[in-house]
Amino acid sequence: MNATVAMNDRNGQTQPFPIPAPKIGVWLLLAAMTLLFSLLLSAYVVRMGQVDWISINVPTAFFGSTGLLVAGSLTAWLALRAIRAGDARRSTSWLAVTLGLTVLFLVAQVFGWQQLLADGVLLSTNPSASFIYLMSGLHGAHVIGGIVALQVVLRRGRSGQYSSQDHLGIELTGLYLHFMLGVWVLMFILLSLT
Amino acid sequence: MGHDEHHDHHEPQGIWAKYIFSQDHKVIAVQYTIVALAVGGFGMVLSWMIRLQLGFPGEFDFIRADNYLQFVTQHGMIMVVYLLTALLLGGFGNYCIPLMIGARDMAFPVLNMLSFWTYFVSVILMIAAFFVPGGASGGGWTLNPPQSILPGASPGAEAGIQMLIASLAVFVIAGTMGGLNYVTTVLQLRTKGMTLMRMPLTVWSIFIASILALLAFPALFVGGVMLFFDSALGTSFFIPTVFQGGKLLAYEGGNPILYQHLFWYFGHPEVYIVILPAMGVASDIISTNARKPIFGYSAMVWSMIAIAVISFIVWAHHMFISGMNPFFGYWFAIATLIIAVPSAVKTFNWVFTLWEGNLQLNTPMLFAIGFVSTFIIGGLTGLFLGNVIADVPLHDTYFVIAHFHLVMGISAILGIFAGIYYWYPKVTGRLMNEKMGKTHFWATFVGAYLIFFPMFMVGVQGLPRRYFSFSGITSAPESVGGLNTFISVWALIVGVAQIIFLVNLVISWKTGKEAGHNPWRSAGLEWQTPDIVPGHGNWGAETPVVTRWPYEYSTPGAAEDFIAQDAPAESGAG
Amino acid sequence: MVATTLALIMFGIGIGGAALVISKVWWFPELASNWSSIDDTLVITTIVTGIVFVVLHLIMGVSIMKFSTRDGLVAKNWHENHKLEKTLIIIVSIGCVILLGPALGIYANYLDAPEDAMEVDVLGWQWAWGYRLPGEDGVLGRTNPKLFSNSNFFGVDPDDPASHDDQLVFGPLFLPKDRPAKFSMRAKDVIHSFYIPEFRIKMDAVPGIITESWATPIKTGNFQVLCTELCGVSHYLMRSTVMVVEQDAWDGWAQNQMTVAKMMNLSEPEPEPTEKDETADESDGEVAEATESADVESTDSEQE
Repeated sequence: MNATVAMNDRNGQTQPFPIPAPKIGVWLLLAAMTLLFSLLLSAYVVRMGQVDWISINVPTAFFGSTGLLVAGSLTAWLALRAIRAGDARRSTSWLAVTLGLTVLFLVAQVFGWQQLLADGVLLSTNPSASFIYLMSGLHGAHVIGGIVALQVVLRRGRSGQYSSQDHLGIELTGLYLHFMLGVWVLMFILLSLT
Repeated sequence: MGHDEHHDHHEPQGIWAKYIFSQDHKVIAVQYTIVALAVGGFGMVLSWMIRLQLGFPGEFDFIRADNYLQFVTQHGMIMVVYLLTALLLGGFGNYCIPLMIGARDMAFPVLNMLSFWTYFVSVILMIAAFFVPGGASGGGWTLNPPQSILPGASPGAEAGIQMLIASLAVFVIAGTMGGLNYVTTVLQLRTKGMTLMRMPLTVWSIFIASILALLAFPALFVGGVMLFFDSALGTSFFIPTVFQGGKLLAYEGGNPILYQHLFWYFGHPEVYIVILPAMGVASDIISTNARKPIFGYSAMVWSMIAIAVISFIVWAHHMFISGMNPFFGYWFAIATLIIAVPSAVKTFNWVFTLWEGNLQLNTPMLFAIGFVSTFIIGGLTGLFLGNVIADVPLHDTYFVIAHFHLVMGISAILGIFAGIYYWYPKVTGRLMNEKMGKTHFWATFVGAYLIFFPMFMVGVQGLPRRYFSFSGITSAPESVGGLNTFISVWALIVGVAQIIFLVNLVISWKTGKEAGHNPWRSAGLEWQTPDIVPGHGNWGAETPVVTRWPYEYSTPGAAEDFIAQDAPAESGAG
Repeated sequence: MVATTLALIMFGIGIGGAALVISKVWWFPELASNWSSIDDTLVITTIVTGIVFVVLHLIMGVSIMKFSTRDGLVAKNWHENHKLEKTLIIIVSIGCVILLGPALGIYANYLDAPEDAMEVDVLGWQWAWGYRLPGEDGVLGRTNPKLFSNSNFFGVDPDDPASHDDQLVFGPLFLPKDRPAKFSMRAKDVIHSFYIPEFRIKMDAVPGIITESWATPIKTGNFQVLCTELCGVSHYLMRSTVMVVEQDAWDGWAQNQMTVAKMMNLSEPEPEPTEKDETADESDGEVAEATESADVESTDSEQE
């Protein structure tokens, strides 16, 4: 994750683009994921437009999970702000909080699924039910990726690898979480539409 | 992520680190190439099964109506995804990008290694699908529901297709890891002086194809996941109320056309994912061996960009008669014919590059010229199929089979052969045998025409694709059976000719003629490495400094008929 | 040697390909519908693309002959000619407009069935075709996929009075010559595609929706219906026959077709059970059986 290495590896030559490679990589990954989720959401909207659409109430747990994800995004930003100010310890603490919130988000999502099941809404009950499970499931699977990244960053943070100059890992992990929040909010709005 | 490893360029120790779990882009490229060629050989054997049945109906008992469909389906899927995509991006992309832009390796070497092994897992899963209960899927390579996942329609409608979807999902992950790497490497690791408009067209084409892959594969992933849910978990994303086997099934409310939209949103850019790199490779080889700069370099680059952009808005030209809103037909026909313009520009530019050149007709050049020819006939016949009303009688007939085999199958594989013959000396230090190479070319190129030109004729007579037998079709004359036998005989001959290539590939490794530093007298940067076969890190203490574009051939007043990309600026016009 | 061979192959591809197409040894089956405009489009496209194909191959052949390497040959260094490029882009664009313009007009016509067309409900299932005619009232009754059953083979809605006189045809479909026929297509199980090569029309029959296509038969005779969308193991056997006859012969045939009312016992007590049972058996057969029954059906229908 060390961007300066890439800069120096070129015999002091100037970079063609003044953006570190990992950042480009993450942006490209997010571009691919944007396509993934927009296709999924388009499929949902197309299906919603058909006459036989039956809408389902979004489980209440999803409201809570949305709050958790917002909070996680916020603390990830606080972690970045702290490391920019050179406060590695505070940054690490915020990362730990972010990790906790993100894990809790997944727990809340599973809880939401249980609410759906308790209401008799099974995966194959009708297309809207299938979409709720599929969309939240696919989003959740991508959030797991974020949790793995958070753990790595947290471990590196604890061993003092980040500084006010060098904290790309924290920045990119935060970016990923913000993206996941954006996707979820969009999904949540669409799922709430009747 | 992998920069720590990237940083220190000491040679990795041990056979595992060096050849198996290598992070060196050159080793990974060879790994990709070998696996893709092996899988492609399997795909070719499957095509023989198809041709044996159609050419000699009833002669081969082991080909039945059910496993015939499995052969058809798996042949298509293997060739498009596991051979062409993997070899052009994973093989050529990995090998050429760092060497051609003067980098020491990929931007993320660990990710690169993971990409190959993920691809390897996807291949294993795809092969494993043959051994699950019910066998591999026989639903056609497009896997259109409901047919592909309803038991009682095609074979492999349960475990077989689920396994295949799992394999495709894994492949998408591998492709995404690779794509991130190729794009980032091109943007970030170009050596000093290597501006974007000094990049060889091979790099440009793989760069653009990788972006296409990053943006197109998600559609396959989403469609595949939803199809998997319908098949394994009983959801109804794509399956409406259907009555099969004497009863109404439990599905309700799905939309089968939605799947086709998702599939072709991936499927059409996929065509360009495989043909663009072949175009790039052919461009470079033609220019080198014509001893003449490529004609209209910037037009070549911009037409590839145009093709890439437009390729995302033409997908439904595969669906003119699918039952989608027929008014979409106008738009998709117009967009499709617009894409003909940049394709034509590229074709003219290859032809102009040949004109007044000093043509070295070695094996790579022959394959590159063959590529231009098959791309011309394949592309032109696309004007029938893209033009909505002309598509109606031809859709899903052998005309379509001939068209796409020529334009993206044969053309891409000719490009691949050209590239392998061309860069083999870079990989091994030895040239492949020219005599065997030329024999391979004559058989493959002439054979391709003898297979696919008659297939157009079969198609215009209205014979549909994916038919186990044509007996009793009254609209076509008797002679169509003879045509089919003719095609099959040539398919077998061309197939056998590939053995020459395989033997050549293997024996030249140790016994081929020593190539020297620059056997094709190319101006490209990849031929200017300090070692003939570049070691770990590719370059010496310093990466090269590029002073000019890669097409400096036959410059008036120059001492030789080429000037290397990193030659000092004063030795010729930049 | 290599150069001469390759050049000759290029000439051979260009000229041989053109000769094979012009000789029309293998060409589209003889047209039997009003869609001569589709044939014209195909011919125009063949000419336009054929010229490009031949010219490019001839140029390549000549380049290979003239410019293959020999002592003293030096390549010319030119590599840009914006004027030439622009000219070619304009020519290609004009070519595309020539191909596209008329074709889109014909497509508009294809989407717009004549008002007086006779409606035919085409139903595809694994692996056969059935047809429903509107009957005396000239109106096809409503259908609903949920109503498919072994007794309601076409999934018609018996509550719609218009459906009672609809006629069900399992054998060959008779069509009157010179009268436009509008095919509305449905599928019971998977996607099929309704294709009559001599009519030049083709349309997918998709479960859950109704798709349309139309043609006016202009020749009497028997024409084969093929399925052109992979629909399972016996896809290749999913054939049927359309018989085009003069109007009075058609009238006589149409009178004798089984009505929905009769088949579903809606008004008259005595249906003919044989045909109904036979088809019901087909629909739940195993793969092998179904293959056979599809065979049997096609031979049956020829004899009827």
